[in-house]
Amino acid sequence: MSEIDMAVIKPEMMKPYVWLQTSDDSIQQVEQEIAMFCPLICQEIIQKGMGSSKNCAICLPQQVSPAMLSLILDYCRFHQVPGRSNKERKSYDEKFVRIDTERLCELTSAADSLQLKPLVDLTSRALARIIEGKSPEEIRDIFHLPDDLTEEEKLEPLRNITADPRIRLLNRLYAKKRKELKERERILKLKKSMWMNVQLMTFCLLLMEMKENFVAEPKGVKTSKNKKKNRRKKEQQKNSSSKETSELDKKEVNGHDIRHQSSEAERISESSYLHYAEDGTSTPKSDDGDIYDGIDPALKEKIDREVEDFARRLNSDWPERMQELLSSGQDRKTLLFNTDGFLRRHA
Amino acid sequence: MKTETEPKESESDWGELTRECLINILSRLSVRDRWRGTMLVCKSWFSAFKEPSLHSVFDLDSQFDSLPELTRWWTLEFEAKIDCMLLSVVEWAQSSLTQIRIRHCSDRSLALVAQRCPNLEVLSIRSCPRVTDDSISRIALSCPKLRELDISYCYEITHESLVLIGKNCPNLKVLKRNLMNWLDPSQHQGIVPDEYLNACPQDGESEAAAIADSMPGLEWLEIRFSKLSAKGINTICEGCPNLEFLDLSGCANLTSRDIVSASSSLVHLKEIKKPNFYIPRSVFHTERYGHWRLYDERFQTDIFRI
Repeated sequence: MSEIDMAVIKPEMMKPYVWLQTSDDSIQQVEQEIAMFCPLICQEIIQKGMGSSKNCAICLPQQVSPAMLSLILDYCRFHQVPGRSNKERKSYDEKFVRIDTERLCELTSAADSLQLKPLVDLTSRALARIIEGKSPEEIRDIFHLPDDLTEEEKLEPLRNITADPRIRLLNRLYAKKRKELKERERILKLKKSMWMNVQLMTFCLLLMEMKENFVAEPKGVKTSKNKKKNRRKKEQQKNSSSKETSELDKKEVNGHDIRHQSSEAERISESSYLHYAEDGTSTPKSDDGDIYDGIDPALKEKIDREVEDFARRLNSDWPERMQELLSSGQDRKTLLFNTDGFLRRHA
Repeated sequence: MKTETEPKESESDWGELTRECLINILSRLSVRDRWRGTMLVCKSWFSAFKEPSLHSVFDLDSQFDSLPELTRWWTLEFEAKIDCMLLSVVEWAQSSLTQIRIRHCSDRSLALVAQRCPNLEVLSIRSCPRVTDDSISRIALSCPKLRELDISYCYEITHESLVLIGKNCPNLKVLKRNLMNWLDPSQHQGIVPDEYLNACPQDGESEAAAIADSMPGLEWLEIRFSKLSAKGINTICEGCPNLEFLDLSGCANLTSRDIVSASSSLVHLKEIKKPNFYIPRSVFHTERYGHWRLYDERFQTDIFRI
């Protein structure tokens, strides 16, 4: 700056306005009295003589956007008036911080960069009140923070706990136990769904069997419909079998140690595949209502009752059935392991 | 002078809090909120959490006080957790740790405290069955600024530690060495392990002597339910002339007369708590010597009883 500039600026320090440049590079005019409330601006004006014109506008820190600047100036405008009572100031402050959390954080950073301590304290207190009593998930939600701590980092405060050999042993035992329990649960779940499939399969087969038996009695009465029914039965078989096998396939991929148990189920699915292979002309349409076509209502009820009976028996025989399934080519050890938990669960 | 934002891994336009602001906010939260809520939020918050200035005071007493005494506090598992917390705090505080108010820790964590906290001023470790003379002597040697010590209900600490502390910590003003209520242990039974209740130190005399000998600057003394006798209280009052507060509740071996005569020499004494009951001798002797009461009544020998 040349001497002449300095001479011009000095009397202009008494000017009522200063020029401030915010983070988006826009420049605005602000009453000097109010802006001086911020220590940083004060310093810039007095020590460096900036802000007197548009050309030498005071460059505010990056955290101060125009919106934040206007908020801060509102605050300064209110508080720099000396005649206000403490009560007035307090109630103004309380209303002032009733903004959404995002803006509150921005405001804190902006006030901090301008070294406006009273406002920093006010906003920090408000944010602390928001954080109080919340869990980490809730805090992450409110402040839009990423969940970027690794499991190892999360355990850092607890790592000292393993220095004691007793505790280390305890931890190891607990970890083993937990793993065992998880494994057991997973296997049980798989077996259960496995068994449900098998049950469904046998149930469908039985149903078809019964239909066959029944249809066979009044011979020659509705032969065309028989053909239709056969086709539909095969469709049923095909649908259920394809469903079963796809699910079975999934299960097989998941756990090779349950392949033994699935052997019986495989045999069943294979048999139904054979049926499907014989009848190549079936359309993939299943129509449950058509099964009952042409059957007397009374007989229909009889069949229903028998089917229900069978289903009930199946359910009650579950544990024994499981044993049967498992006994085909099984380790004694795993059998005990499996059925122990299994029986305990379903006893 | 412009404050630069620290480089953050997520450069969002969202206007993140700077580290300084975050630390300012964390400092306004209670210990509980800080540990349970903000510690494991995300990387930047965890890093701000570990700021040494936030850990200069580690006070769990308020947490303990807000609950009735629980049985599980006396388990090894709980003790390990407390140890673990204290160890973490000591590391994060990086020698700026000045106050520790916890319970149920053990030698393990106190050894590190002795090593890393030369600026320790307040150590309150009540109810720590597994803190021994070993740790306390270490702390005595490495924390000369100690001014407040509370080792109530720590039965493994003996009068030897008291001597060492007194000799090495000239600033010691507050000593709390309370014992559990052995006259009527019903308030502790079921929660505190019985063996521990029974292991109550019996040597009130040597502890009193240790205090009197080595802690001349003591101003605040609590020795509830101590078994010291009149001689003990006399030595204390002679050795610690600056006492302002003296708590002798439950010291059943002291009579009112003993206390009054001993404490008359304490010029700065502001408050004294006397054993707030009077146990007539006849209560102790009812079962065995009940028949002597008759004798007393007939021959009026009770005028010789104090």
